[in-house]
Amino acid sequence: MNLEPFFIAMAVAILFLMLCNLYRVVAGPTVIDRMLGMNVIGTKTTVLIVLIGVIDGRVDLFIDITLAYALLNFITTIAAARFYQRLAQPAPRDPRESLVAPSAGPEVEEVDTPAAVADSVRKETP
Amino acid sequence: MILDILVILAMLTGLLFFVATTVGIIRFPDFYSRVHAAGKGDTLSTTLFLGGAILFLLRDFGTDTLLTAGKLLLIVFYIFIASPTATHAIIDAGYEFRVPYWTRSKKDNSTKGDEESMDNGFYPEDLKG
Amino acid sequence: MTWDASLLWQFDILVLLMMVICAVTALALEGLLSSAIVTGVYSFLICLMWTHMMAVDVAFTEAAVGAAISTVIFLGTAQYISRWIKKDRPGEQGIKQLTIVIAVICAVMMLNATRDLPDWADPASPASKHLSPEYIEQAYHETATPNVVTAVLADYRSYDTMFEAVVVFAAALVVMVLLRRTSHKHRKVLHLRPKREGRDTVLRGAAQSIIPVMQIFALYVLCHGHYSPGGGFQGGVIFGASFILLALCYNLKFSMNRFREHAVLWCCAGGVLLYAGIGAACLGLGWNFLGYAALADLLGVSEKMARSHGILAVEVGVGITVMAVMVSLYYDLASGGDLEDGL
Repeated sequence: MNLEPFFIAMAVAILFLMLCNLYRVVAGPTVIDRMLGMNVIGTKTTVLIVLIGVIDGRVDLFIDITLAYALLNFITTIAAARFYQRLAQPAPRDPRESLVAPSAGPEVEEVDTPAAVADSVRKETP
Repeated sequence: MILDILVILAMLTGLLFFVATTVGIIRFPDFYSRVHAAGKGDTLSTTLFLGGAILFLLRDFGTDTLLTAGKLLLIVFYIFIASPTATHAIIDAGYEFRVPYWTRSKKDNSTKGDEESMDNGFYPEDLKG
Repeated sequence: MTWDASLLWQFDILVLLMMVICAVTALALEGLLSSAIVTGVYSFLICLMWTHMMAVDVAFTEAAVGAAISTVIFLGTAQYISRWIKKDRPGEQGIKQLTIVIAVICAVMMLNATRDLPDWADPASPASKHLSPEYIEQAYHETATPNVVTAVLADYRSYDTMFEAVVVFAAALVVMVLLRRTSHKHRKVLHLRPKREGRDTVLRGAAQSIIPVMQIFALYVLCHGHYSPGGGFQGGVIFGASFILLALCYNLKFSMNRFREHAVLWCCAGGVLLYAGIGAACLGLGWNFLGYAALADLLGVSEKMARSHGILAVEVGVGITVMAVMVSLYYDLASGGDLEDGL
């Protein structure tokens, strides 16, 4: 049974859905929505590389690049999330009580200003 | 023959989950729900697609195809670990940055697009960069 | 298998459409962080395009460098710059228009020059008639390396690869000169850093399982460059990325305790020294610079195998340099130069 037209149809379908995911990258209202879209596009590209290998009958040529791609997609997403956390820290936020997510509590890292250090010292002493 | 049926079934199920993921990412109103859609649906659909590719490779049973199938299994296992971890990192960043929740109030339940609601004050200024 | 049908037109059109959308979006977005992420998506897509065109080594390098390292470097640089593109000050509008005019003139000149290039995939072009058939036919007989790309990169065009390694080394040096400062200075470049003791259990668990496998895979890619797509550059980037992942999932200090700065610098220089040293050894033994057949008597093998071993040795040199350069760039960019506190 010749499965090649089936795989070609699968690849085109995945590409079309990736195009729909690109909407979230382009129009995500926040930066972090774009990071989400980047993660999904990266994961689906690994599937597409394997499908290209299957269509051409030479999966052993593409298998190394698939693993490397998956690894690097993971690193990019985590780096973007961590950099975003770093950039988020010193920015003062607008208090809108009904809309803003509840504060993370005392587990959130304190900013290293002298006032914050004095606060933490004061909290520690019983 | 039956292996072909299994391959087609696995890939079609993977495609179905990916359609669900895409619809979720586009249509959900809030960042947190989109991360749910992306993290879970994406991982499962990738696992099913690559599982179908492994089954397709095992049609001609030889030593090098067995080696390639083994490497693909390693990739499946790796994506099973790494993709939910990346989702966790994203949602951790969003939570610490206090991305606002979506609530079913009159202000947010309008039919306007995301850009208008962005300027309404729904998202703080420094989230948009 | 059907090699003629390997370029699917539906595939090409969709990927190119996505790339155009990404490129236009990266220019039109206002925030620098968003533009950096959309550039990362563009890199992912062009890697896919090159895989589709069967250029797997190029796709590998693009995935390693463009998609991961470039995005991390853009994000790391964006913390020093104001995140918004400010409105034009008076006098800037004229400079912008002049820049656009110059860019359009250069583009027209270059498009005019492309008329002299041979046609796409023309079998009678000079590259296809003289150079490529010779490489494809002679590479395995002369160098005993099945992967022709590695043979061309590291043997026939080894000067270019050596200067690539030197350029990468120079980039690490320049970033160090620009950013590196000792902790005695009071003025910090980056203020208000969050304290991170590596408290995140999920990321730590994932890092513990993934990083050792990643490093072994990097060494495999380096050594297997003779037989499959890969080679020194790609293996080095993956190895360096594993240290970046360690620093991201734990602490910068945690990663620096395992790969200290002076070891990083030794590796940066040592890789280039290995490459040039092999070339000088070949010169000293009476052959050309980087003519690996000189090592045949030294190693006691035939000339073919000496060239194969020479290719492996220079790939190792490139891999060491690239790994250390990626780590050094990350150390300097993520911590603002003082290497104390980081992501």
